[in-house]
Parts: sequence; C-alpha cells; structure tokens
Amino acid sequence: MPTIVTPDDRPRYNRVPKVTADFWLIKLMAVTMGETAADYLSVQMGLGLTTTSLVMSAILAAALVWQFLQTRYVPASYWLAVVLISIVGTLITDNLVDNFHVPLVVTTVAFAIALAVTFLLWFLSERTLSIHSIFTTRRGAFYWLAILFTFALGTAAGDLVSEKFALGYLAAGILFGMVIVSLSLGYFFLKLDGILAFWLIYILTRPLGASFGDLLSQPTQYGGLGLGTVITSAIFLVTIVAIVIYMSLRHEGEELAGGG
Amino acid sequence: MKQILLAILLIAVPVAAFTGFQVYATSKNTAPAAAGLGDLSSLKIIIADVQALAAKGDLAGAAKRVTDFESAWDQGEPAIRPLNPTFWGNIDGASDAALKALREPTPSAAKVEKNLSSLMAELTDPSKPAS
Repeated sequence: MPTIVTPDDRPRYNRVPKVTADFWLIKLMAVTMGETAADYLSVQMGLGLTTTSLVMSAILAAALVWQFLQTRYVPASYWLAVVLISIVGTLITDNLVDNFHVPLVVTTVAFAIALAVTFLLWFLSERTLSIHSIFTTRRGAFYWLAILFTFALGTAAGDLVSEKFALGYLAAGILFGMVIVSLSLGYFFLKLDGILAFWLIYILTRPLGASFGDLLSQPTQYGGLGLGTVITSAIFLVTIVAIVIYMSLRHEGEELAGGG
Repeated sequence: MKQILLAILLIAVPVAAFTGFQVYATSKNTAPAAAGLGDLSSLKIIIADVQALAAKGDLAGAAKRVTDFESAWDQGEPAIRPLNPTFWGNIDGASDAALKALREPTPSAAKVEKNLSSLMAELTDPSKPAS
C-alpha cells in the first residue's frame, strides 16, 4: 500500500496498532480483565451498578480525549482506552439487563444494528473501512464508535448464547473459539476479506474473553477455578501493563498509514 | 455479497458442528430433565442468619448481613442463571423484594419477615413462581 504523505512531506502514522498475534493476545486479556474488573467494581466495591457505570464512563471519556490527542499509535493510550471500553461496555449491558430489564435478544439486535449503521456511515464518509489508515480524527471517531459497539454486541450476544443454550464457561469458550478459528482459516486460506474478518473476530473475542474470565474467577461450585475477581483482574492488569511497556519500548505495532 | 455469504458459512459450520456434538453428547448421557440450580445451601445459610437477626428485632443488622447474600447472588449469576433462567428469575424476584423491604427508611418487621420467608422458600424450591 502506498504510504500517505502529508503536504509537508512527513509520513502519516496509523493511530491504531498493526493487527498481529500480540494485538489479539492483549485484546483478549483486555476483554477478560474488563469482565472481571466490572464484576469486582460493581459487586465487591459495593458502589452498585449505576454509580460504577457513571464513574467509569467519565474516566473512559478522559482516556478517549487523551487517545484522540495522539497522532501515532501509542500503546499505553490505545490499550487504556480498550480496557476502559471493555469495562464500561460490560457495565452498560449489565445495567440494561439488570436495572432496566431489557431482554438480551433486544440488546443483541439493537447493538448489531448500531454497529451496522456505524460501518455504513463510516464507509459513506471515508470510502474505506480499513483499519490500517486511521490517521484523522474523524476516522478515529468512527473506529472507536465501532469498537464500543463491538464490545456491547459481543457482551449481549455472548450472554444470550450462553444463557439460551445453558452452556458452561468452558463450553461457551470452546464454541466462540471454534468460530474465531474458522474465520481465521477463511482469511488465510479462502480469501475472506481482511477487514470483514477483523471486525467479526473482534466481536467474538469479547464473549471468548468473558467466558475465560468467568472460568478463572467464578467459584468452583459453579464450575469456575475459584480465583476470584480481584486476583484474576490483577493478574491480567499486570500482564497487560508489562506487554504495553514492552511494546512502547520496542515501538512494536506501529505502522505507516496505508492508502485508502 | 460473496464475502458476506462466506463469512456466514464460516460461522455456521463450527456452530453446527458444536451443536451436533452437544446434542450427541447429552443424548448419550441421560441427564435429569428438570435442570435444577445446583447447590444453593451457602446462600440459604446467609438468609437463615438474616432471618434470625430480623426475628430478634435487629433489622439494621439484618440489612447489613443481607448484603453478603446480595454479593454472593450477583457473583453466582453467570453460573447459576444459565442452568435454568426461569428458576433463577424466581429467586431473583424474591431477592429484590426482600432487599427492598430491608432497605426501606423505616423497615416493617412484618414485611421483612414475609419477604425473607418467600426468598427462603424460593431458594429451597425455585420452581415455584414468587408469591
């Protein structure tokens, strides 16, 4: 892809990371941590769902402001925003289901529509949905809006599937994992479009990570490993921070913005 | 369009395989038809404590102890609810009523006792809809 060069001849950088194995690893951990941290904040801290949601949303807004100020991929900023979106997305869906009693089928369909509309507007505006060329604020806005809806959709759809089919954590994780593997094989061997594959898999990593988080943190009498939300969140937080520091020092994941 | 169809196919195949396997595995394994919610005795122990405190007239203490139940119930939701969402819902409704009764500005002992009894009944047999 040709490099985008600005009028003053400096190359433009993509503001979001290259899609590599590292990317998916941290993404999964961010999702898992979002699930367990959201549980911890609203249950253990005793603030209740509504207060916790408001506080975390405010922190997310601040993090997104910081992210939008960056003009290249800055791991700390990007992944902080992703982890917070994971937490806030979980809290919002839980709010809708627990406080407002909105059925999971409704939230799943609503978020699917919201995501589709976002992609439509994005495409009409930018003529490309490429994640390798996020170098304007407007494209960033579409990107992060899509990310937010993929988290909400992933949460709702994942909960819906697990509930309707009474799957345990392990079974649910295996199901979502299988679909992700299938889509990956489609991309590598059957010419499935890269951007389509990216977003579908991105949605599915949410329920996959959530199942994994529940498997680790939930009590053994319910089929989990009983580590608890505190330890699980802490383990993943430390791991994410370590990888982000590593990425920052090595400048991994940066790429010049592609054409489109 | 072809891409969308390909994506749908790639999603449908593992889902079908998984479902097929699940159906096969559970048919071989004649599991009991009525899916209960498993062992809720730890929750019942907490409610028994709450009932004891309320019976002694210590409604403030009861309200404090019931938060332990609330935490445990919320934490257990991802595990318990899928086992039988209807049964889970019956308990959850009774739980909400009991929590509400205990958290009123001036709780009524009679109302608290009634709601706690309903909750205990649901925990014992969640197949009955909340009274």
